[in-house]
Amino acid sequence: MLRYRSALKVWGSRKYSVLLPEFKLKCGLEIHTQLCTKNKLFSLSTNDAFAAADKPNYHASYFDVSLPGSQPKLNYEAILFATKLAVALNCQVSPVSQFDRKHYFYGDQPLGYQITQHFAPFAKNGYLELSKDLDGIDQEHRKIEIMQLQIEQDTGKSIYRDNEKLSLIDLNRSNVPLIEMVTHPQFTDWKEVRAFIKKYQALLRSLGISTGDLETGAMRVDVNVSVNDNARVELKNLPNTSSILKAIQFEYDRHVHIIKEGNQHKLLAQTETRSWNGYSTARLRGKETSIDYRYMPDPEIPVVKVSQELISTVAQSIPALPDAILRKLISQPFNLSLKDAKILAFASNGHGELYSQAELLPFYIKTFENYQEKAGKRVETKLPTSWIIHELLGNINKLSLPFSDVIKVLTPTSFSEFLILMTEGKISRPSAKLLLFHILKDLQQRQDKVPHQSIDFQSLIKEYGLNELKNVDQEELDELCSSIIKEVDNPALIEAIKTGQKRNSIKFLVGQGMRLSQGRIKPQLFEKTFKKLLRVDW
Amino acid sequence: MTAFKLMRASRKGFQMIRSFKIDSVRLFSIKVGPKLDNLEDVKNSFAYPTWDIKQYIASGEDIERQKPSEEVITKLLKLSGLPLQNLDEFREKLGEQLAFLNKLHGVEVEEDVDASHARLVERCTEPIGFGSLVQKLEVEQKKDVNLGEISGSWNCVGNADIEKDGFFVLRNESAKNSG
Repeated sequence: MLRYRSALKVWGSRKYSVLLPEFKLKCGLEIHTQLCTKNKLFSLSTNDAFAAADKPNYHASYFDVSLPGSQPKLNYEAILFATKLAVALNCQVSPVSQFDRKHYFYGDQPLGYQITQHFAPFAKNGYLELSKDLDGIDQEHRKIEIMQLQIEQDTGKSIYRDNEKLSLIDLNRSNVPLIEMVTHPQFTDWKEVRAFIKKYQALLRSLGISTGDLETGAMRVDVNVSVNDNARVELKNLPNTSSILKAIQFEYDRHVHIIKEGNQHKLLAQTETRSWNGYSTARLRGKETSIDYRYMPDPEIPVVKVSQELISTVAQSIPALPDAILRKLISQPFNLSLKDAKILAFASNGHGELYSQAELLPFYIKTFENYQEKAGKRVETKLPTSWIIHELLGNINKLSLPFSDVIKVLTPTSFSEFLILMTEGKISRPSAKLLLFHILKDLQQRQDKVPHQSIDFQSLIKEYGLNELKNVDQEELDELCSSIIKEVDNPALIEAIKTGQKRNSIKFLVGQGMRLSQGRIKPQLFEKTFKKLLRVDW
Repeated sequence: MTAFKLMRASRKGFQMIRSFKIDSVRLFSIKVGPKLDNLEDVKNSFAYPTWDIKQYIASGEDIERQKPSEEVITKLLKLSGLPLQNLDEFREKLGEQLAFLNKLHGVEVEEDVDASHARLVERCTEPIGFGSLVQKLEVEQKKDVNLGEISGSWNCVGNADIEKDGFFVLRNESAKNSG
């Protein structure tokens, strides 16, 4: 037993596991996702479990706390959201679905049962496609089939105070709408699991139906694992992607070890549920202690009948999905890198962002198109990407300025004109950086007094005297560069530049020049002059 | 072990029970009754009982009629591997339960109703279209203070025996949720 425990410890500390060809991994996912409807599923109390974390039991109606006599009333916003997801996942929406009661007793479940969809789920038989180029899986293409989507209510939240032998119950989360999505056990590698989770999160966010965040519990993932078709193990309590992958790897190694020892008939004969503690999995319960939930149709909620017209109207209203957007952005004329395309196509985090992809993507595309049209043959395709993704978003983050405020004054038309000024050499890149930051800083300070009119960059450049100097007097420039070299007063550095030992250090000198000229002289001109003065021959 | 558990103990035994003749009597029907418009109507409707619980409890005569024979009880006990004792007690209990089941079977129901529509609320709903759904979202999203739907409008834990910092408190909770 001791030897077995120490072996587990070794596996737990291992960073990467290797899939062995003679031990076939098979995984399935069960993902619970909170829908961000305005109100809860069977009452109209506010659905805001996170914002009110410091106000327990604040968003709780009589039904949410199960006062006797209170009855459920279905919030059809959840039906709308579920239809969007079902369509995006290529599922067949059931014309008739129903809600059922799943009975179990627990403190954060005051009804004594959870309202879910056991007998007739909302949608079935969908799929999500993964690809090597977009999702980084090993195979060129994988189609993961989705068994079903069901709508159900969330439970309240228990805070365990083991020392005091009590639990604190907060029912703000009680009755929040959830969608449970179940895949077939078709994952054969943890890379596919990771890709699927990322893609599913992106889908939820682009549909605007959930934040999709694992860290806040808005999305919870359970994983079924089996090796060589032995009994499956269900893994629970997986708080983030890293835990999910580590738990699968740990469980795979554990199964392989058991099979190698010839103990699979004893230890892997029956299904069991295990929990992840950050290092290893531990048994929660086996088949013999599985719970009889005594499912029954909920007699207080009418069956849900969805018309074909509803499904097709929702399908038409769905925005372009992340894969289609990515493919568009990495192709002509945008030619973005996958990393940049992902920033524009979907959020990495669904909570508390200063910008949304619904605002950012159209801004980028319109700016790009305007710029391309105006620039003609001089077009620099990377310019809009670099200035929107890196400069604009960077400043927005630095200043904590919501993008929605920025686009009130910085329209795609004005931003594309700004880019044209750079392409035409009317403002140097360093000056442009300063100007953009100044505009945004000014906007931040003038909150609530923002005139809703577009920025005129040309006038600003004139006003601040930022226009790039076209005809620089070489003698004056030589003089300026010589004085910089003198002021730097670092013979070792100058020598290292001369000999080529520290080639990049010349950028320091150029920086000094840019500072003194307030960015009005091109850095290339400074570099050329410094090289001439220092007689650099590299 | 109750007679009912005993009845469930073996499939063969259950088949034997099912083969008994059950007198199917349909004595009762359920009516919703007239619409109640005001408080007076509500009070009146509660003032006069419209049914009697005795109607749903099997009479001594019914129980006597449903009592299984000693031979059946003996067979059931043998099949279940239980000692052959208290035969009369089991006969009595099983008779009571069968009589009660018979009463339930006697309740008049609409046979043509789809079982999945067996709801306390609206039964046969129409498929919802996009327009009606949008309308529902616009019209039916108004919070009702009488249902406690306005955040912070009522003290949720006010009636709890114990509370702590606004939380309900569950004592001696050790088994963490794994459902």
